Amino acid sequence: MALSPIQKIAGVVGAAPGGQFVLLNAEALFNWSRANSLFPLTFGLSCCAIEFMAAGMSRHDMARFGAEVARATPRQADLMIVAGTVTEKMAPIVRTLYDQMPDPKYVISMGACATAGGPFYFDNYSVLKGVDQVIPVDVYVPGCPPRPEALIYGILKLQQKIMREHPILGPRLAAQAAKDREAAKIAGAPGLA
Amino acid sequence: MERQPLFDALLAAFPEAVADPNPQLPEVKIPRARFRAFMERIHSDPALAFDYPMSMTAVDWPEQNIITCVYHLYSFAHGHKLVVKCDADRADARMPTVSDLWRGCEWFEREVYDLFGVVFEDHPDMRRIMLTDDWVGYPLRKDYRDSRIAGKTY
Repeated sequence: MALSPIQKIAGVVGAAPGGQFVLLNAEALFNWSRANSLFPLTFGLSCCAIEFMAAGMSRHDMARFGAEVARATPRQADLMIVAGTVTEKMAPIVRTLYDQMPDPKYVISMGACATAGGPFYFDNYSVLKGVDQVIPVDVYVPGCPPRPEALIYGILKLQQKIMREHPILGPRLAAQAAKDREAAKIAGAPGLA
Repeated sequence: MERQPLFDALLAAFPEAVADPNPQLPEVKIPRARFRAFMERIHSDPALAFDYPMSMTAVDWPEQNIITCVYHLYSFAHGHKLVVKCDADRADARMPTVSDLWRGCEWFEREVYDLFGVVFEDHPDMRRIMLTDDWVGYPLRKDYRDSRIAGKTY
């Protein structure tokens, strides 16, 4: 895999004294700002959308976790909350919306229908058995429909997941950096995170 | 019009119709040959004046080899309701359209075509309405099989 320009810069910075400390803190800053300003895409497919709306309203107030700016266009959204039953006919549209979202993008599958087809699993010709057949899903929230608390818990789980990402180094370089740090710790070198 | 006068009026004009007084709504079964004339009559007769199709559906009976089309009609002028049933041949399911009498039936008939495969003759736009255009088969027929369906089939 070819290195991106930012990864090349990261390589130079990381090789400098104290450079890994800078990189790791820069990554933490990226992750922190991404995790706490998730913009969900405004769309609902069935009754879960009511709970999604309730989660955004004042009683449950998703704004406390920075995920309240529901955008009306996928171009401005980075979180897709699939709230409801995905039918065979709706699946290509959901896929198109996902493709239109800019990276980095995350998906929460909300409720039993979006996760596995829910009550429509058996004897049904028209419902997709889980939205993960068309788009990758980060967090599954069970429930029929899930309470707003459950959705907010799912968002918190997604935030934890985002906080473990390596937006600058990428997973391969991050693993290498971790190995280097371990080796440096054994060698007793000072000044490394 | 009350139930019994309604039946009397219908059966006087169409002796081949079979009235079922038991269900919640007054119900009439009409042979297919007389179906179109029957519908035209109850639509235009001012004493009956069924001007609103409340709903339309169908029932699949594979053993008898028929598909029963069911029409729920209402009259705003008189406030009475009527259920009309008519059998179509299951192997070659064809029915005369009533979408020229009730515009609302245009979509109802497309829905019945979509799910049961009944072709309505002289319908202005006989194509699927809810399923994808390339769908194979008619899902509400009892012998419909689909590899995507989990669980028991009927």
